[in-house]
Amino acid sequence: MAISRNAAIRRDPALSQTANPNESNGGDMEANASSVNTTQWIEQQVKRLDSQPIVGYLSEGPPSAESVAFAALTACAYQRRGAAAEACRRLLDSQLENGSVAVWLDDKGPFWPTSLACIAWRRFEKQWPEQAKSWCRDAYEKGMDFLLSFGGEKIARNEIIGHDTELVGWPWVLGTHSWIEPTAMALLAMRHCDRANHPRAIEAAQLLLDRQLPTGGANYGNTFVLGQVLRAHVLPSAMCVVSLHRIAPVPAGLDATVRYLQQELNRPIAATSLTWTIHALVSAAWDSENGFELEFDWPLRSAIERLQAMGENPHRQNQLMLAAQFHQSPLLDLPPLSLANPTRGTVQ
Amino acid sequence: MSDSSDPIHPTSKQDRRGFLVSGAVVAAGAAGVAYWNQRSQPNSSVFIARNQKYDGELVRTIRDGLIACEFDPAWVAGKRVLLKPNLVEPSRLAPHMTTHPAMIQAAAEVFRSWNAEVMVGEGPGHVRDTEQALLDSGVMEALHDAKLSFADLNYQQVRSVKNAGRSCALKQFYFPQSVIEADLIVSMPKMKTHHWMGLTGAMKNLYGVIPGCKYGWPKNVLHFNGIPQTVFDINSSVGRTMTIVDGIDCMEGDGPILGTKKTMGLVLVGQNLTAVDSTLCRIMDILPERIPYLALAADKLGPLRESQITQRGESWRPLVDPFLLLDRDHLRGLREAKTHFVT
Repeated sequence: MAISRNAAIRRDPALSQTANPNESNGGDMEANASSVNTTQWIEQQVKRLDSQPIVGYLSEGPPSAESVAFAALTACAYQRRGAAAEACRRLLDSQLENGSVAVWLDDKGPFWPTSLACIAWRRFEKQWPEQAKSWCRDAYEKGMDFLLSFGGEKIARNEIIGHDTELVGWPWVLGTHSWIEPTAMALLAMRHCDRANHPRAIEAAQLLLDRQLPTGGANYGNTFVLGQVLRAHVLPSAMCVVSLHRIAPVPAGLDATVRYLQQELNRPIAATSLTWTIHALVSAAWDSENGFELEFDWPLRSAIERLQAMGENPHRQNQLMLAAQFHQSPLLDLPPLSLANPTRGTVQ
Repeated sequence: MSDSSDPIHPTSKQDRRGFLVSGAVVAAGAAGVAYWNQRSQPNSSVFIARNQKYDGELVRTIRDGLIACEFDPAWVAGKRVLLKPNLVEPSRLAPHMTTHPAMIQAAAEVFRSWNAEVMVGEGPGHVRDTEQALLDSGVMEALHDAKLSFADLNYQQVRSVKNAGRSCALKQFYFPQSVIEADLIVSMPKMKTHHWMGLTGAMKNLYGVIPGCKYGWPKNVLHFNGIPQTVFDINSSVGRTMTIVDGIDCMEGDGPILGTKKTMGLVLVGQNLTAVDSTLCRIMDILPERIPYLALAADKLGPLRESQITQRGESWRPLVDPFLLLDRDHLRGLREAKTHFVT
């Protein structure tokens, strides 16, 4: 695989042209990205992660389930058992009786990060079964039960919305429609937790494929509205590809999304979007003998540099650390996925 | 994944402005401010400046506009001002979709010159990665150059505040810390059409103070509770506001995302968002009383009728230039003439 940690990315000058006169900021702010030594940065981050596995979205904010789950996964990726255990325990302490985990730990919801908590628990169990004992399994099994207990609200098909509004994935908030990102997270969780063949997982995959835009990429969940095709965004596009990691055969629509992400890698990408994009592109090259000639060093160093300029953000720093594991990221440690059973799922 | 009418819940973090005072006190305070907005801010002056450019004298324009609208510079000294641009879904392909960074910098300079503490805050409605939204909109560089701090309203700690409007079923809104702490929230919308509502202006722009973490991307809880109703309710509940509108490069047609650029060269300023939005409508050849959320706000949050609005700066009449609207049933009634519709 031609994915290299330390080589410079192959940049396409044509793609670097911009229609936005303000966009030069990304390049300007990243002009010094060469000053970042990724290896040294990761060494520093590992120490930070060891001492601070419980983090939030913002450096001064309360701990959030998504951030702690990513901290756990990152700790797993770097063999930091203590930090991983602390993060997983903190998620467990916040799990409610019905198996859910709220956005902000100990809050009352919404509960879309439950998927991420399940992935973290499952990963910890796989990596350190002796320490996980049964508590991790109990936690993610309850989390799975919670996820399967609800889905997004169906909307009657109509001519003004282009996507299949009756597919049931997962919403951000109970009582609302399904969208790409919570559905992708839930599908990933089901696959990590041995429910890849569950009808709800199959339907989630169908939903994500239904949401691909004609020229590649995905919007946050719409495709056409009032006759116009919506714009693709990097993060939901990448999350679709990651959650369908190792799907076989690769649907044509997903190929186009991978090409879209390859192009976007020529532009400044923020830490969270870049994390998922790297995972997506590594995933897309997974079974290829040659991979594709993409290298992630420049975007990674640029994102790190930007974070350094903006100030501490352990959540984003953890995400970039995870991305820097490339094909060894535990997020991608999944068996092949087949959509053999096209039957739609039902909410339990 | 939580019920959208969750009750007030406790939080555990303190800050210097007493973010942690009881929910009831915060709710009462917010309701009180909303009441103040409605009762003691009858000033519905709307200032319009024409021939404006992003590389022009925006600082002077905004300063003149605020003073023309009887904004008291002494009042804002030492107070917290939150500039709320519209970064709903930034795209390098459509810079006319989002508030221009030059507008943000100019507004910040004006309020700073009056010794206010200024920050920029936004919770982009469609983009979960706020850092990416800042990159794509050009606002990141503007923040950097002007040494402005940014509040990520999608991910900040929140508190619940009573829904003072009660037009929709939600009993309360979760507002981010910076919104609750702000003494003044400056809505800085782009002058645009909206494919559902007809107009997206100063009032609709405040959807961006609602945290995505709690409401999703898009903020679907609001949609499910009715866009007009929730726009009205958020504006009723949010505290003291005013607006500075980026009407220089605008959007018509399939706004607020996919419309086409329309250059107007305007900057509008006002202390009453309803009055400014109704003026925007008139310039765009839209009947303000037909915009559902303005109809709800009329005579509660501010006036719609021209006779109740004090015109400052340029007169709106010579500036009227119909914005294209989508030729759809729900938009056809927004203007008297049966022209300027597009498919």
